[in-house]
Amino acid sequence: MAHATVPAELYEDNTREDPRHRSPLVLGGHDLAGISDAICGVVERPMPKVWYLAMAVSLTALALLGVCIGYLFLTGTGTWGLNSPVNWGWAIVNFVWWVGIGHAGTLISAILYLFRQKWRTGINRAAEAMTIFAVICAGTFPGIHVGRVWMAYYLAPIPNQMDMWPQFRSPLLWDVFAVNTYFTVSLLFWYMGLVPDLATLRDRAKTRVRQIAYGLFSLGWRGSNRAWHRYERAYLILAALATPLVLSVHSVVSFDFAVSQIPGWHTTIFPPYFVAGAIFSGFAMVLTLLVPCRKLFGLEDFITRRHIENMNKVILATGTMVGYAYGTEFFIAWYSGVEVEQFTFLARARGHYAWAYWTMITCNVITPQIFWLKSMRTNLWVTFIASIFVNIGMWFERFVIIITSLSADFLPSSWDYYRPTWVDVGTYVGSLGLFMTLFLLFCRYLPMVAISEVKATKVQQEHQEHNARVQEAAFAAALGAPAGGDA
Amino acid sequence: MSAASIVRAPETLRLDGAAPKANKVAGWLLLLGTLLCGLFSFWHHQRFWSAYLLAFSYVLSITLGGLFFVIVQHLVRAGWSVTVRRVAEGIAYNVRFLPLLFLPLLFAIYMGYLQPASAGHAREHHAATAAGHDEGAAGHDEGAAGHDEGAAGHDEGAAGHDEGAAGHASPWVAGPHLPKAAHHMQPSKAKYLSFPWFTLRFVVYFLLWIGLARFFFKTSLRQDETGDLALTHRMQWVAPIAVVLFGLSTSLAGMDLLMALDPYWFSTIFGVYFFAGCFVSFCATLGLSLYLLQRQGIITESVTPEHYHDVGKFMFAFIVFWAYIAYSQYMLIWYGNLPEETGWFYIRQAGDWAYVGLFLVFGHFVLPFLLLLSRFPKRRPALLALGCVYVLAVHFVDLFWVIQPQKSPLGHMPVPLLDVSLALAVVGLYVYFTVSNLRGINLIPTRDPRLGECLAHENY
Repeated sequence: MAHATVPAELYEDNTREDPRHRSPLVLGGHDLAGISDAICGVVERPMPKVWYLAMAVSLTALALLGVCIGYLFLTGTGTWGLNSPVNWGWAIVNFVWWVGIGHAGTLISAILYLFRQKWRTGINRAAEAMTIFAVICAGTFPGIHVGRVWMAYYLAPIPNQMDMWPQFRSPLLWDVFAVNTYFTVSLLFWYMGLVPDLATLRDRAKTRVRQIAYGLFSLGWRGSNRAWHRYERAYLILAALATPLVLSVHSVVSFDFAVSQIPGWHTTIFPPYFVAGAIFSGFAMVLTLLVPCRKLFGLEDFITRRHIENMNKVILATGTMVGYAYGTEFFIAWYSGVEVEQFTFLARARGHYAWAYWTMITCNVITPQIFWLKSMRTNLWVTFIASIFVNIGMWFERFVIIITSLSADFLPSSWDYYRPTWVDVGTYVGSLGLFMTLFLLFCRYLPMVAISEVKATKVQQEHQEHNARVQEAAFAAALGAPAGGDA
Repeated sequence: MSAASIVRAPETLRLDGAAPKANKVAGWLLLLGTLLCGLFSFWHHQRFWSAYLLAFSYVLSITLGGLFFVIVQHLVRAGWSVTVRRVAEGIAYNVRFLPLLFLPLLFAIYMGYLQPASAGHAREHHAATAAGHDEGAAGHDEGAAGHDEGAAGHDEGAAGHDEGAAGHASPWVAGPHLPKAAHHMQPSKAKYLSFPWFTLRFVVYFLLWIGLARFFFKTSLRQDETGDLALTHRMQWVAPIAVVLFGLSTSLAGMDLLMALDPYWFSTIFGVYFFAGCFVSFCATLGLSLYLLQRQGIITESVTPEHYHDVGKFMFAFIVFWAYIAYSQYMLIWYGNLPEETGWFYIRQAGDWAYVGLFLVFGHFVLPFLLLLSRFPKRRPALLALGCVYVLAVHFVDLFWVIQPQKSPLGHMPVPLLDVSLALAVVGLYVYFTVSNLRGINLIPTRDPRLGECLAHENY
């Protein structure tokens, strides 16, 4: 009865549109045990050679991060390319970029959960992991950017004998709260989802070390009915708590700029525009990671083309929203009649940084438009390349916002062109190394796909398909009844 | 469990029996509203057209929210909403009648009846006292109020005879009434806001909205007869293009209709703010309509508490969204404290308007947020319908707060008797429009391919 009513051709190609049925999200005819085998197998078998190669590259980049940070600490922020009008350089560009990337995971696990998007179950685990790693990378930059690192604790309002406090009216302090809350809730959410799957790994573990390690972290999970019931309730409540956080974090990040009076920064659309951009870049990073991973680890039956297509639709939607925000900013700059505002926006498109601006427009607004075509949305190579374009474009978006507005401020005599140093570049590349190292470790030791959720989705889908057919038949019968509606 | 094991009670799928009753209610609303409006116009006739703008914006926002709802259901291939979609399609299709309501407004704009009483003065006054010393503001206000009363008197006299003024700078602010700052308005913007261009844009918006609403309504109706799956595919094909066009047109229309009331003020988020109000008010209208239909014994089986629950969730979510957008707009302008931006909030914080603003914070966000947070009211149609009436009322207050400070003397909040009575009359017409769209057809898409899924829908 498993496939009783879903037509076989949807199993062959689940990107096919048939409005009578929901496309299957687990392919390959796996039964429930087969799902466990396929997903746990990834961490139980030795890693493929490519993993070691990737790990070597990532660790090298991570070492570069260490070198750059060490050099920075020993020498000072003068090693960065900052100059007098451009006091915020790559550090904050990287911070905003990484925080933005860290939005997809919780959006997928919380908001898509509330919207009952069942395809989220195939990708949520990896996306949430990526979110946490991205926020770790983001957190690095505020920590190291303070000139006197031994004073880094000033970032947070910690009671001290000097009675010195950060400026509570500054959005930079709100950032500390927003990002920390987001990180904590994302971590809890991710870990809670992991518990049943860790128990599965514990029960399958062949070595003593694995038994103890997975056993410790699965918190004595036995899969009893009562445990599942409480788990589901907690999951729903966490999802509801995490939802406003998805919006709040990047809104607060946008306040860093928008509360100021700098032309190009002070505009009211910044909060929703930044949130849309964050989701855009987050999904792009999920695709950049998962398109190769699903192939490498044999997870194509769980992260199907349908999943990829849906993510590409989100990319198209959020990319278009970002385009709308760019357009609105230009429109209002003209409409407002404020000359400095008009100058700033024209300078972005035609000035010294026009190359960065047009890179941003090409990558963020134009590239996603190819996803209007279904053939492109379901093409893995196109998806992979476009996702990298979006990553680049979103980095340049922050670069354009921050650098262009600062480099030509209110006083023309202080205008200057910003150039990064090798330390700037090295730190950025190093943060990618940190991110990839953490992600590769995640692939090595934790289930990349939420086993229990995928199983539940598969069963629920079959159940709902059946119920829908029953209701349809009953409706038709009632309609045909003599006393029925006059339709 | 086999298909035969579920027996559904038959239900009425058509409005026809209840239509005369609904039209009677509509007629009474129209009559009552018109009479009251006539009565209050004795005292408030100079505010008639701004009250009319408010009533028009109110029904326009509900309609546009409906259009967005319909488009999005196809965009995301929603299953849960099939049985509530037809009512939404009917509400969205009301947009075809709205040009009729827009024509008087256009006439009033052309004649220059909609010029501000004192907004320009408020702005000048504010520009002089800006730069953020709030302490002194209270004292200034009193002086300003005195000054503005005089100004209001002056404006009343001037309001009627301004034919030549139309088409100068903004459809809302005609020539002689431009404050001094007007001289700084760039010619290209003055042209953009001028009467002909304003009119042309609304012609385009209406053609677009009517085209979209008609397409989704008619295609869905055709499916009732043919059951053709290709129709679903076609609606899904159009939906993404429709949502882009809708987003652009609605946000620009919101700016034209409401933001340009103060032609010097600007806010990039304003289009989103208008949209948020549209969708909140539509969700409330949908919840209320479903409840009223079921009270008349229509679609009693196909629409269940599960569907009310989801409508309630959308209403809840977009109340929060509205608050988020409103907060973003206010906080950033307050923090930046630039005189060219704060003027808009300045006149909304002067005098009694400050209480309206505070009411919106609590009435349009905190209270509905707390009330709709739990499952309990969302799954009880009568309670939810009560909440819908409340949300529709606070949405009216929101629009009142956006429109009327621009058209009243500084710090003076008019008693909204005229606004409410005029809105009653327009809502009466609106009910009549809705009934005429919905009569003679099935109130659920009986052959939609996702109907079974919708009927089996359960929240978890």
